[in-house]
Amino acid sequence: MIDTFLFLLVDGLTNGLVYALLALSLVLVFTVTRVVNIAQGEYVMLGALTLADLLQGRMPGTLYLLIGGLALCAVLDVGRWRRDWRQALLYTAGLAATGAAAVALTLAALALHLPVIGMMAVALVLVAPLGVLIYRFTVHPIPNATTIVFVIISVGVSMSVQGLGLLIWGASPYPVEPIAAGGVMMGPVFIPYQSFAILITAVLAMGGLYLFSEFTLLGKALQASAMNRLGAQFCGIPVNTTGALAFLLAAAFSAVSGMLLAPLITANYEMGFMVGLKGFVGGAMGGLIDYPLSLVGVMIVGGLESTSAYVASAYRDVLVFSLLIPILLWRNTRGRVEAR
Amino acid sequence: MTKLLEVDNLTVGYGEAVAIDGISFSVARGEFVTFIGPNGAGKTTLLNSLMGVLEQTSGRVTFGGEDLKRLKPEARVARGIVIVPERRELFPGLSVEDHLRLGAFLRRRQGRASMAAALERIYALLPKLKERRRQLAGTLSGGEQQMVAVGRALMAEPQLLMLDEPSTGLAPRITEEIFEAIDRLKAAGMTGILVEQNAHLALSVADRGFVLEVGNVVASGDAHSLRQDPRVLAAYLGAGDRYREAAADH
Amino acid sequence: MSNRAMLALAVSAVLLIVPWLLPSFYVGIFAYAGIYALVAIGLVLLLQAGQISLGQGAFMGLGAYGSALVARAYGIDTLVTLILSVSATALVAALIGFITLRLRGHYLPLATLAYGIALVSVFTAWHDVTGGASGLDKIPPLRLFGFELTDDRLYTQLIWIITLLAVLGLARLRTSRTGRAIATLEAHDGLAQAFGVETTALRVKVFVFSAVLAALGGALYVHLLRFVSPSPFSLLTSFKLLIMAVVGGPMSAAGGVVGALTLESAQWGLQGILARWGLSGNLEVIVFGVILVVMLLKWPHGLWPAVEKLLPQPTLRSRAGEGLPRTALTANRDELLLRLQGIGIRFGGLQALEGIDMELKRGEFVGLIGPNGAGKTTLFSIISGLQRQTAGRVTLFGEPLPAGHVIVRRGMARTFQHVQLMPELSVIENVALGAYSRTKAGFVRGLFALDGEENRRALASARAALERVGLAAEADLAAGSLPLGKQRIVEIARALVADPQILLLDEPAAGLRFSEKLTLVKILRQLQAEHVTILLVEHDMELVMGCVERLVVLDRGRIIAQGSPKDVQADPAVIAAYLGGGRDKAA
Repeated sequence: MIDTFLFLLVDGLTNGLVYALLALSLVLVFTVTRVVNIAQGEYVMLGALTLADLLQGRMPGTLYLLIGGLALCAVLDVGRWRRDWRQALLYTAGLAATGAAAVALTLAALALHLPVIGMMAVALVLVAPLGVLIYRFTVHPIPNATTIVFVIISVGVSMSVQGLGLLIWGASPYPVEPIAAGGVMMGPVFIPYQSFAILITAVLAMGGLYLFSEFTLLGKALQASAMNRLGAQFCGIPVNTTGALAFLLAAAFSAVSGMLLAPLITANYEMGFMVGLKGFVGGAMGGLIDYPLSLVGVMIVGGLESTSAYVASAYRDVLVFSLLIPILLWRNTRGRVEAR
Repeated sequence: MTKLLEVDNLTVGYGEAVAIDGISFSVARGEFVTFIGPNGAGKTTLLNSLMGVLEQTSGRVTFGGEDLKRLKPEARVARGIVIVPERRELFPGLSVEDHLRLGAFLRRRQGRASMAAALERIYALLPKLKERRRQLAGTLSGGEQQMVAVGRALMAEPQLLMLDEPSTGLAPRITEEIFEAIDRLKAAGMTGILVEQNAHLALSVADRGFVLEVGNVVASGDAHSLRQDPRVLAAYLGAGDRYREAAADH
Repeated sequence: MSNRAMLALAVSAVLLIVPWLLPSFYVGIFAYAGIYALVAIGLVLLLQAGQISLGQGAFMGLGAYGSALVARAYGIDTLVTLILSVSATALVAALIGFITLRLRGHYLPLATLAYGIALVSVFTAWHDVTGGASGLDKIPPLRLFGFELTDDRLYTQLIWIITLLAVLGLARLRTSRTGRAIATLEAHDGLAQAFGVETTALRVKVFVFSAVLAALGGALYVHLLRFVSPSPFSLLTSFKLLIMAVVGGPMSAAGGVVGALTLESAQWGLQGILARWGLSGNLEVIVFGVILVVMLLKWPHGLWPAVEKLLPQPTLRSRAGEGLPRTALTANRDELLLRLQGIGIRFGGLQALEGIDMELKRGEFVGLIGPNGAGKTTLFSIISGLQRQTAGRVTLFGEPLPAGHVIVRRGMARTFQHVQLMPELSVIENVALGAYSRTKAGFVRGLFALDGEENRRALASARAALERVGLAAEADLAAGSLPLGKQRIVEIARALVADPQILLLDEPAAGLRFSEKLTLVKILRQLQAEHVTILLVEHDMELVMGCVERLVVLDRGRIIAQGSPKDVQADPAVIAAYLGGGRDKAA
């Protein structure tokens, strides 16, 4: 009996920690930009599959997305050329340089046969900027849109990115090596080393975000943009940059969680969506604005998942998602929802 | 005196409404001008437009010779145009000192010593802020919040300080304190635009004044003579003759 | 018959003939287009009501499984199974709607996502009954009164008949009393309440109706395919339906049809291209995602407005005839209509209003003025029922002030500081909203055009009100196309249709040019001559001084003066409040 309980506890915790990074991303994006990012889970997929490619010695398909996105940026900002052609030239050159650097970095990494951790870092560098690009294409043009519009837009992004994932990587799953194979027996339960890696990463990420927000001026500026966009503008804080920064960090967190998760589950083009939605259920406990509560939420989701997987596995998803509604109702009565 | 801000035939409308109807004025360096008038006169619209929050429909605004057209608020702050907004626009979850530091966001590269010195200057001007430096802005009283807004604006080292109805919702004592601070700033050479509903208060600190009534300047002059001008009172508590006459024709 | 009606008939005829003209391979696609159009129409209605649903696929599934399982087990007529499954879905939707529609902002879409996934997961999980992920075959075909509909073309025609009827019903609904009320749901609740709309109940009705259409679509789908499984009702379907509604545009039910046809043809086209290039994957998903984003960025109203420009102008009806009965207003100047005793309100630590005692007698024209921050707006919102006071009593016609949406029925109507008109609707339709509290036809009557007589009278009343304020010529123009001055007067006309004894005007002169203000004053004087009691909040002092009889002056939450304009102008307390006391400074 104790064995089962411990097993469920550990399993639940591990699940919960993966969703934790995702919930963190969701809260970060929502507080700074008021976007309910249904597409957040896709960075999980992108992180995992980019890593898979790198570990297999291939140029990751993500580069297509990155280069394509940078090119689209250049095309969209063509208006700049008319206003100030020197600035526009610099801008386009910058974009091109970024693309070239990404390619160079990848080639170098592949040539050097970096270990898993090294490849993870490279994958991070390739995936995180995609968050900035998506911000640029979808939020930047309409910063004052209503929440519903942002929700629908993120649905569109989710569909497109998932579709692109299928196009680039196909439907079959990819093997991803863990940072360190094997695990350890703690009493009756076997814990893979990868789970420790997830735990450490989650703690570092949360700690890092906390330190950044509370102890650096830029972090405070990020918080300020979240609390009062106009007030932040009046301080000279570039609110479009802080928005892009939020998207960048969120993409980074999600990508890392995907890379860590991939050895434990099937890594294919679909993996991100469900993970993202479960992160939502957890994040909803904090109303998408409260970090500690959303962590509590993901732990509950994780626990519920393990328990129901054990008890009534077919109904696992039903239970987890049905849980979202009472959580939302509870949050709704607690505080006034900001509906913009 | 050099003209710092020049406004030429500015019209601002939003949606269908015309809030400001072709106003022209200039502010010289070291001057404090005020716009007074009843609510709905367009005073806040004027400042929001100068700050880049509202787009001008037509006209030209130059600051230090540069056309401000289409510059975003952040860019105007970078050029030294800073506002203390009517609704203060504070960050409820951040502390008083956080606000001041963020006010100096654009100068953050100048180093710790520079930031510390700037903070001390503000605390000297507004001692209440020093007492409450760690308190969260959301828990402060109205007057204290106003002080934070002023302090935050000053940290940006403005060339032109714009104050939007600083006395709104404040008890007379606090209003006194704030206007004393404004006095000291002025004495130190600050250039400013003060928008106020409280005409007497505004005219007691400004050099020159403009009386706004529904988007138009109906009177202007140096503050001292305006204080006696009957047109000021009429702007606030107008006789309504125009409407009564119109009804008589009907 | 109007030009538009003829065109609609022609298009419908074409759509109904198409199944017979297409090669058999494409008939299926056309059938699916019809089904998706049906569901998308329901989603369009939801969007019009300012709501969103990412779970329509799940309701389709409920309708599908309900009908399929009952038909398979008992072999009954499909009409019966349809009614059963659609009703069951409606009940589920009513329950879900009642629970979730109180959620605001970003919570509502998340909730729809939740049940969208949860319900479909039940289909997969409960495999004893539903056959799980692999589904169930041998679903009987559509059976009506013993006749089995196995011919695909005939079936497709049936689908499109139903869909076109739905378009007709919704188009009819939009011009009805309920349709006008639905249009207010998108704006802030103040407008809806001010004219007597019970917003939560209406939202639930709209939600249930859209679920009904989805269930119907699902059932039609399953009896065509003769196979049921969870995957066609997944989140992806819900997303595609959303794209159809957005692409078509939420302006009109026909937008749902446009969206469905566009997307289905695009999907088929893209799949063809993929096959030719030998690419795997679903390119159309990518394209649809991009389309969705681009449409929202550039054309948030979808394609329908562009289509509408090509259509002939709608013919205008005369709207003459008898309107709703109007209460004769007496000239008894002693009758006390509204009374405020000791009104106070506290927000957190701030006492925004204190000790307000005020009376409004019949026929009076009273102005409420005061410097910025005095509390005028707060007091106004208490009087109009949008906020509750924390101290004191408000008495209206001798009884305590009722709940927000009941006030208009008691005889008090208002206008808004920021104009709250529905810009895409015509002026007369906006004004007709004022009749909401005096008429009764509900959702169903509006849908099936059973409210003709009442609607005619409401519109006739609207026309009479427009004539009263001098805007009869603009009756059929889009409200958003009028200049601000006229829009404000349209708001007054709308309030007049509610047959009020008291008119509450919230800064009606804000943003107006002088000539527009003159017009406003003339109308107000005219109304006063007709014994309408008016309470006005305004900042333009000249205007207020020039037309009101009595002034109430607020400062810092208290009344500092009451009296005639002349007295108030000379009152030193008032002057000090506006101009300020100045400072004790050596000048």
